[in-house]
Amino acid sequence: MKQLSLIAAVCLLPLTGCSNLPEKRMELASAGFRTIPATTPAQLAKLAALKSSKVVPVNGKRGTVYVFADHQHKALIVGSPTQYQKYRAIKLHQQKIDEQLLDAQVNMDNADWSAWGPDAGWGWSVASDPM
Amino acid sequence: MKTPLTLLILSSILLTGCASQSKVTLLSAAGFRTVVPNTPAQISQLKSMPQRKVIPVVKKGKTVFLYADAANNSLLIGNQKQYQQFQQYNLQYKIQQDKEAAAALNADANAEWGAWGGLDGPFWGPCFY
Repeated sequence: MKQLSLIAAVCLLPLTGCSNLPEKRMELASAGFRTIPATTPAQLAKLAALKSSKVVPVNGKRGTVYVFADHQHKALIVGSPTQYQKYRAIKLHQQKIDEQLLDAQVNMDNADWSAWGPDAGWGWSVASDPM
Repeated sequence: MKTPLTLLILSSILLTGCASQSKVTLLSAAGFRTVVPNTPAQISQLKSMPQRKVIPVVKKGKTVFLYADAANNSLLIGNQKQYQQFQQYNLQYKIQQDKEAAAALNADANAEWGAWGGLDGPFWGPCFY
């Protein structure tokens, strides 16, 4: 049982870097990225052509900008290279915290419950714990 | 670096507990203003919007962010800067929650090992030497 949790935790570790859409919006906006809803058919077509789930560099009129297509909100999230660096730093920090949480989960699973009696760690006595 | 204001906001959210209430607190703290619909047309418009979600829309050429809450008869409106601030608070809130969850799990794990008397306890202590 403990081994299974450990394997699951290790398998999940590389996935912690992948954030879902609300998290992505949170990280990008926190870094200073601006959200620009697409309003014209041309903008919508350009947006549709962009891959979602990835922040990509694009050469704009004023140099390189980083864009993320938010297809759900039909909006483009745009940032400068500095804002992109900040976004990367936020992401890295988030990953570290996710890993700490995962480590804590593994520690918890590896904790020896037997000192609490034969039933501890196998169901009701743990489930009824206030945690 | 958390400012005292941020800490105050985060702790007040932790006290409220409810997710949607937390969101409203964060939005208000970020500067979103609350508008209460007056006319039946405004009320019906509020009901037709996606509920309890922050959505970007363009109004008079400017991007504004709306959060409709028909159950509480209110609409929160913010600009780009306020949205960014809201997301910063959101991020800090998530980090704090994750850290607290990790600390709680570690404390529980330590408590379980502690039942054996810790590393200096009877099972790992002098009897092995």
